Amino acid sequence: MTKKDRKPSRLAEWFLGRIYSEEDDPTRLGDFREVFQEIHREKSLFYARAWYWCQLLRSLPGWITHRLYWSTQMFKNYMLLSIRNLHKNKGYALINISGLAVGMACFILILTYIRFETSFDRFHEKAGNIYRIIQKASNQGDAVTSYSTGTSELLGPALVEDIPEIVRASRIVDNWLDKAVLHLGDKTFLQNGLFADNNFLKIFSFPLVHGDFHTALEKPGSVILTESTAQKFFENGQALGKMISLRLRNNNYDLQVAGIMEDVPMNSHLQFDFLVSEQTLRAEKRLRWMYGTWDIGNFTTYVELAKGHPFENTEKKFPSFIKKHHPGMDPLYLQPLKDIHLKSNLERESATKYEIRQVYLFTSIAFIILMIACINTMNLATARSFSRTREIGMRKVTGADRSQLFRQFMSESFLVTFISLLMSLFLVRLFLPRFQMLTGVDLHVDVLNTPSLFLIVLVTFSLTAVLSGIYPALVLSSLPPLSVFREFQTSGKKGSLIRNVLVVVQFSSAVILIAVTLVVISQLNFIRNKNLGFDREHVVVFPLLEKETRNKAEAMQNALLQYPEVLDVTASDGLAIDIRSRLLGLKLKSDQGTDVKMELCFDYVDEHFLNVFKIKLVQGRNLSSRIGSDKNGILLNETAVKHLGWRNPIGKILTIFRGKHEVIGIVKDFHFASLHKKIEPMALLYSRGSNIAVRFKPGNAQQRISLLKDVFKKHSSTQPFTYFFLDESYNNLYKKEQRTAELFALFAVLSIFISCLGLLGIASFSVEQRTKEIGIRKVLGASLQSIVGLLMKDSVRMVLIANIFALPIAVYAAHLWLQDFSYRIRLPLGVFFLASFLALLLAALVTVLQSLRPASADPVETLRYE
Amino acid sequence: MKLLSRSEELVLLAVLTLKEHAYCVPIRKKLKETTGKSWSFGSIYDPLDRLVHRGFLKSFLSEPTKERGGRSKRIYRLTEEGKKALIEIRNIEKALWAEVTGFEI
Repeated sequence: MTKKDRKPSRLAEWFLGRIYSEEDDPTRLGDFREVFQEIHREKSLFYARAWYWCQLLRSLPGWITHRLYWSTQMFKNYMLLSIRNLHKNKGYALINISGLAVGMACFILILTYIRFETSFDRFHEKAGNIYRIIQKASNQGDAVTSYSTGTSELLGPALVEDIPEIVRASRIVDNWLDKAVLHLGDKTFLQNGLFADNNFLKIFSFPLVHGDFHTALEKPGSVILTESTAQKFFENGQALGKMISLRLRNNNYDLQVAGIMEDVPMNSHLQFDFLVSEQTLRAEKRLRWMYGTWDIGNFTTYVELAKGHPFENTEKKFPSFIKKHHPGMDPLYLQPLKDIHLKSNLERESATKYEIRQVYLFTSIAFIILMIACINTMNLATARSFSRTREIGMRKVTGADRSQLFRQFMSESFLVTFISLLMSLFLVRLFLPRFQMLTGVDLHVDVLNTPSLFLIVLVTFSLTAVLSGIYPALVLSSLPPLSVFREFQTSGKKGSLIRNVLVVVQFSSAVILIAVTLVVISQLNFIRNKNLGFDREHVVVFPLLEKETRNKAEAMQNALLQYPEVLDVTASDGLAIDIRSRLLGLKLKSDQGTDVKMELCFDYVDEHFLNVFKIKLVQGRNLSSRIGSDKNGILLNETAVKHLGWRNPIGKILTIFRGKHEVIGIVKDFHFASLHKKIEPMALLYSRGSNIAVRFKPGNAQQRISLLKDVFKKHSSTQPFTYFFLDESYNNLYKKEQRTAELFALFAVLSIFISCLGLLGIASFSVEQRTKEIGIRKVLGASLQSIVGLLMKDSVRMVLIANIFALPIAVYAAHLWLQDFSYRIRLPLGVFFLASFLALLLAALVTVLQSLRPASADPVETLRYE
Repeated sequence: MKLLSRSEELVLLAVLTLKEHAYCVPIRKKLKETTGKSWSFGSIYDPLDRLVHRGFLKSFLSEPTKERGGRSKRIYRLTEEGKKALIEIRNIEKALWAEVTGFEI
């Protein structure tokens, strides 16, 4: 038997050592070991080990009660001391706690927001197995690859048949039913809907309140309403089986309610108020062209994979699948459902996109702000260590060891953090409505009833307490007890160096946030004031959403033109800010006879379009109702002509949808999409559309709207009247950026506020420390200014250094953000200097305010106690 | 002065009999042999600590031994006060026993 075998289990021995550590007597373990050996000799190793464990277990209860007793005693004592300490230094405590409270409130708010953003589509039971089919758009001139969700109706069933791990496929048609008119009796509402096939509810977990999800979408002409939609039409709640009519631009459908569904949660990328069975479309003769062909991609296809199949493997089967069914089809990919909200970046998508980058950005801001707040606490605590040396020294002399002091300061930090936490929860409650408005998200902050929120708060709490407590606790507990006996103790050089570094870090972060905010704001201003190539002021648009109303477009146009306030009226499908139809793979010949492949944006407009939006014509003439051939006329923009390389574009023929269109005019380039994108080739075709845009003379908007409403009501009895101002809707294109800017601004202000709080504390502390020095200087004839200058020097220097670090980072961050815009400002260097100047000014202000009082104090007072 | 408790008295006596080998393990063994009962370590350490505290025992460390995992023994020795306390308790017992009548030992 080797020696090693004759030892008791190491764990047991370690434990026993812990238990007897209090007595600090190593011989005891030796005693146990000796008896262990004896038993081992006489009986067996097993017996000896059992005995050893037995000994351990027997001594446990006593040890535990002992430990509990003392730790509660000490905890009580620590708490009492902390409270006394806070009480004694009310000013510091206030600075400390309010800084931490604001920091933690921000942190909690941002984290709840991020929690919402990352929770998208996870409520579906099969969320992990659901994928959306996306297709790479092939004929793209530039290097950017773009994906689209448009797929053929044949795709889903073929996939299920050919690829075994694809369990189900569902196809939907979105976009068609945005703001559709639902009508019943005297009630008419604009609602958003989707066409979905019968598999939709089998794949997605949108629970039905009434009706059978197996069959609800089976038959043509069935509809499922969400609860709140049903409530609008059927007040008594008896909706099942009733009829309701849906009015589309070209068609009316009478639908039977086959189910009532719970409202769609906000964190779903599919948002709708009602679902119409896709069979309804299939039954429509006019829509035959969409069916039975691989060439028309009007459907979005979702598939469900069997559990445990990595989707990459399935994707590998797609090329051969394409070869079999429709060679030449663009490559297909699977996009995980969970990624759609955060990571999807597609052309033409119905849901608002919020990139994952935004989430990272805000997470880092949350941590930066919390860090700034923690630095405050750290700095204040170490700066004040000077005034606590006596206390610490006394404790050490009377026998407290370092770990006890460490524990004391940690519990102090926990107490401070706890008070701040309560305050921050109060702040969260207070500012939640405002924050919801800023983010545009309905957040719930019911901390106690939501486990994940509770976790967030708990993590925030412990993170803050540990972060802000550990450094001071280490520093303070290491102070030598001898310092008690020293009369003058300047806080150590090392300590103040670290303190200064931390202040520099704080101010750097604050300056970065301010600078980036200013850049974001100036870019947004740039967008707002940019000359878009058309005039978006004084234009009101109202959509014609149903067939009957649409037929009256011309009558309405004529009626509106009678009013003196109205300058011009157009009825078009596209608007100057939104020309969305896209023609892929148009092939044309250039002047040299070479083939040019072009992706063309187009929309239908009438002859008033250019005039209403004030778009300039650079060549040729406008569309005209008087010239019959203009029915097939087309207007191109300059980019399209440049792309094609045509010297004389007028009179050339384009073939679109098998129709030949003659180019009759060239319009000056205008921004028909957001400034994120470059201007693309665009064409305007001649046909009256379903949006009426009215250009007014400048004047009272309210009166203009009621005028529109009167005219509208005269011509349409069923459709509700909705309208929007063109400039507002233009600004909506940049809503996301607007929100980012506002949130950034908020957090930048808060971060500088917290930083200044910290600086205030440190400045007041250093002023306090130098009271005597100031007194002596005054006696020797120093002026008020020179003393204030002396006191300001330190903080100004720190903020200057902070700027040196902050500016390059801020420039880089701003540069990154601006990359998203095809049309952007040049980096405004002045803005960066403004940010640093602001920080400097605030810092100087804080210190001046702090130093005025001692600097103007009577030296007799300050020197009296010497 | 407080009198010795029974366990203290027994431990003191054990230390006295074991002479220079008086540390926890043999003390425990001795007591086990003479009383015929099992003594836990705790029930030895407690009176030992108390006696040291009261000044009846003095302790010092021996050389560490391999058998004990490289730890030394804490050897106890009676002080003069310890002896006095033992004698005192014995005298009291004697005096009381002397007055006992009609009780066969």
